[in-house]
Amino acid sequence: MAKLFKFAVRAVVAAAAGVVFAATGASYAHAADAATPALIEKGKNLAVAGDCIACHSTAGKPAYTGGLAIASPLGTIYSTNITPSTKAGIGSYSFEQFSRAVRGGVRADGSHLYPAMPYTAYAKLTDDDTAALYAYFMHGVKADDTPSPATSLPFPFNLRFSMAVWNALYLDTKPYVADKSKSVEWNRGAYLAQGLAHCATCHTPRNFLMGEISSQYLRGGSLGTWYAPDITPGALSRSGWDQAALQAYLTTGHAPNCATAGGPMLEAIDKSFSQMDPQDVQAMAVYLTDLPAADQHAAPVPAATVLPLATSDIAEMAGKIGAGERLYRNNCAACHQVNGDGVRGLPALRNHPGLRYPTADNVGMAILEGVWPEHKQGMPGFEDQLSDREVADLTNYVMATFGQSKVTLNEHRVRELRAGSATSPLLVLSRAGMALGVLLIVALLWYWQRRRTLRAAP
Amino acid sequence: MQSKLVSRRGALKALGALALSGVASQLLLSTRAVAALVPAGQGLHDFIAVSSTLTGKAEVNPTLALALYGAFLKSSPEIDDALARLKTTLLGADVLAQEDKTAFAEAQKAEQALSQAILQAWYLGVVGKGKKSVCVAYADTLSNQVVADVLVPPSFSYGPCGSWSAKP
Amino acid sequence: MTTKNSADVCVIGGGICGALLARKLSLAGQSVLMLESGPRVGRGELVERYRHSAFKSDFMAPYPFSEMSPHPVFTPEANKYIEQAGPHAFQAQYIRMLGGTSWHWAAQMWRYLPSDFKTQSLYGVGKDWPISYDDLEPYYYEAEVISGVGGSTETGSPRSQPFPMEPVPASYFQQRVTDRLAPDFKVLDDCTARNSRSFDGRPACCGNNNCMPVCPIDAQYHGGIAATSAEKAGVHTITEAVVYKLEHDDQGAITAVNYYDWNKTSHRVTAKTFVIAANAIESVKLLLMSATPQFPNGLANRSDQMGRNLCDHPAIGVTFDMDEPVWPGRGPVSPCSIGQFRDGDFRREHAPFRIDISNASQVASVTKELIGAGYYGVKLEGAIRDRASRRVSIKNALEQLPDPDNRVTLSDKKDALGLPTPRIFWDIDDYVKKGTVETRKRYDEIAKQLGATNVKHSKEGAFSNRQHITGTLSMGKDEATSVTDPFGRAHDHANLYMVGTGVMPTVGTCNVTLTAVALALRTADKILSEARHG
Repeated sequence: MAKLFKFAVRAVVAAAAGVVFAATGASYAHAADAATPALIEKGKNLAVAGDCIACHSTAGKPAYTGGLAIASPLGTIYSTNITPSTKAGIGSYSFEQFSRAVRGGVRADGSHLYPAMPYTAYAKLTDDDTAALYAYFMHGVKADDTPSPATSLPFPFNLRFSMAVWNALYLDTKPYVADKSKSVEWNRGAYLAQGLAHCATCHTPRNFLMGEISSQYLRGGSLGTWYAPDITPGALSRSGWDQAALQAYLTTGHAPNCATAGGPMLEAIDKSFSQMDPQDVQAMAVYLTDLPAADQHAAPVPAATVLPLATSDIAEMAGKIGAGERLYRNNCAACHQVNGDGVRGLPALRNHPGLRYPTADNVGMAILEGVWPEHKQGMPGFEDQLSDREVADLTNYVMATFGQSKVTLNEHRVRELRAGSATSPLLVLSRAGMALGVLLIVALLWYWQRRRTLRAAP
Repeated sequence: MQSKLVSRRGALKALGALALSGVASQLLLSTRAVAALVPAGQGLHDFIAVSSTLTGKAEVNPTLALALYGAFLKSSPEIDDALARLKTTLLGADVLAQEDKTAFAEAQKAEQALSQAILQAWYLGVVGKGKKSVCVAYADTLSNQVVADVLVPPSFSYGPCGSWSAKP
Repeated sequence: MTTKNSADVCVIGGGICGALLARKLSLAGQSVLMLESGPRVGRGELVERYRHSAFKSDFMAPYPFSEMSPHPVFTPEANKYIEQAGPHAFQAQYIRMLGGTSWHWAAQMWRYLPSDFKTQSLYGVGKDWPISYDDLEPYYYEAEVISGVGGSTETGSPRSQPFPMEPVPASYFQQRVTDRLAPDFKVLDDCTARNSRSFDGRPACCGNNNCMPVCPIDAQYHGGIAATSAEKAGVHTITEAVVYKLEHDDQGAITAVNYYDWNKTSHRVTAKTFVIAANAIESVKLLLMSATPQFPNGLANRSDQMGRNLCDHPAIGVTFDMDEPVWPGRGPVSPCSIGQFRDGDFRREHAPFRIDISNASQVASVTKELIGAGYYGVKLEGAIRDRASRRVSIKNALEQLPDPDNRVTLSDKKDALGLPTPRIFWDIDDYVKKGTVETRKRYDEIAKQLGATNVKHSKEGAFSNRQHITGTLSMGKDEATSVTDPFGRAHDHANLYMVGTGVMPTVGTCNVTLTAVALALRTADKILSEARHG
């Protein structure tokens, strides 16, 4: 009982904090009103860095009108219209309300946002930057009345007030504080990476309650299908990433260490990183590759490289190659070449960093969905043409042959990847937990009633 | 894996040397195939010698040589005799007198046909005629190798869209 | 509601026209059952079969042959599936497989010229179509949007909308030939359904130079993609279903369709509306096989025109070695052509023609040539490089005039299912022969301008088929002289429609697929409006 009480108190505190939060925003009202072209432009660049458009837009609809269905393990969450439309968007938001939504995860009507909106990262934003964003969304974005569909997660997650509890556990409302021992550039990179670029949202693994495990910051996590790798400085250094390579990757989607971006990271590069100020991208690369002095001396063990493969099609013509190799040659070798070295800019697979991950999910996803950069050469998906077994065989051939990896995919996992993600057990468990709770209350009531009856009996 | 790949190349070289000495067949092929080749060990030797002369290459790809020879043997069991005759003919002064074209005599039609069949095998990867034709190799064939700096074998990509606009 | 045995619409044939018609009907709410005589084969398997083939210049080699659903085979040995009854062999080449013959094309998607629709009125030759260019224009665009067509704006075909796709960048070869032939000859980008950017879940062209016989990455549109899109739109597809008979009632309305599966078990399908989309030869065969006492000359043949007026684009070619290395083989196989001989008053006198300049790799071809000529050793290699870098291969497409004697009928031979095989009578008229004389003059001029040596014209008097097979189900306003009405509906059977190149009364001056697809989309609209008001 006492525990429950303490929990409730924390929830109230969290809600109260929201009010306090709003109060501190009030003093910036005058700054928010001064929407100069310079401020709007600044806000626009910040919106690019935050990649707001990636979630708050759907193909074929006007920008920022939301409606994007975001698959989460708990159900589908729809992004909202954040144009300055008063009917369908945030046109009636004051600066305080905007700030509370972006940095605190609370809507103008007081209800909570789901952390599909990475407000836990945006909480790092300074007041000045928030004001610039506000100016952009109020004055730089075209108002559009297209409504976005309402999100209704299955019970009990449709009770948004439950988010207050979650926020109490996982939301740190403090804006970014500079590390005085580091350079200005490093701090700029840290501010962006931790804040607007919200790297941790994907690259930090989450716990059972879908909160980021802060002790595992940037150590890699699965998004249900695609895997966001470990991007801590040690891991980067061990897999051939230096600052220049990371910069090239964020700007173009390709890097000299053979890396190519796919899936959600490719989208982030297309819509956000590639359009950011190169100096900001450099700052983030500085921050992310900053290896602690202690680790610098220990020479990083370079990943064993796969040497060029001698290939021939004699065995193939004789029908003497395995299933995975056959699938590779028939479906992939046209572009990636039989030896996996690509050609004239069509990517190589041999020594691709993606083949060294602790999971083969990304290879499987690339095979199923393809890779579709906005402006460059795309790769087709094979979900219509290959069975689960074939995708597994092909993935495992690629991992082993071009990455020397022993990590594999099985048919079952391929089926899950096709379906979009494995569902979270949280739904079943929370309902079971609640059912159990109700039963407990009924049992208690019955017991109490019975005791009264017994007492009343002479 | 690293050492395995290096030694695979080394093994191919060794195979080449062994092939020339006629011992390779014992190491590489199944016992049935070995049994088929053993009495004709000289045939592979002649095939390689003739191939070397006709292609103008001091060293021919030993794996391809073995595969092509095997295909020839399958399509015409008397190939060894034909190879021996061709080898002898090529040693004669007239046939290879010109640097560019062979000059077979009227009576040497069979040898001429075989020489062209062998060149077709190395350059286009195809052995045999009509319904009996078989494709033994494609990307490794000499015709694709000789233009590999400029072209790719059809069904393999050249590069991203537009990369063919520049002068080769 | 589609079951295995009934639907609103039954489409016979799963090629590009049948599939896109089926798709359009399904998207509009009709239940559609599509029957394809051949198998379903994946692209990866086709690529493997190509690479393993000993006959890489035979575009049919990758496509599996089945006795259950036979098609003509020429390499390595002719199977004589089509009995040739005329002075010129009509070497038809088509694929009976889900997706049809456009699996192995170069994605040429041309609009007719406006005058192609009325050569009789303008030039006193051929036939006038029952519709005009303007009638078809919106459907041309619809087809171009579906398949992602880009090309030259100077073709002479007017457009109400710009091309939906930018053309694929020209190779060095195309640029050099274009520069050297100007100003006497204007070399234009072909109109092709080939991606120059990601589109429709398919990547941009990567220069596999293998359009014919199969693009390994589906950068070009083809019937297989159309069939997949039809299935995604809800069309119920049954493959290995060889339709052999249509049934009709006393009024001539089609009531059912019978097909054999590949185990020779017969199945019966009923529908309200039927569409034959089985190519210009097999469709005729089916209609002839369905003859009854009421329709003794076959269905849809009261006019006695069904199966007649068979046309193709007879072709002659030339090869030569240009005087500078230009390296064909980089990029798509058919990127450019010369169109200035497609139209003009001369059409009164001789056949117009389009001149296609090939960008296919010439390596295999020159290698065979040199080995056959006795080359060997180091000199052989040098010669291969030299000729492969300079070899230009050109062919044309001559417009043949419809002649009722050129026709498809049934032979006396039967296939493995006991169904008759086709017989074709085909001849080439003087109109075409005069056109070839003009073509050869142009070829010689082109060769001269490119400093050519080693000029070799194709054999005098011989023609190759371009597989643009038209005329056998010709549309027209007059039921006495045509098989289908201006919407492709059979004059004799109110609920039977036909799509595919067979309904085209003339073969025009360009590749025929875009026109056939546009007509099919228009036919689909007609079926839908009939369904709404019917």
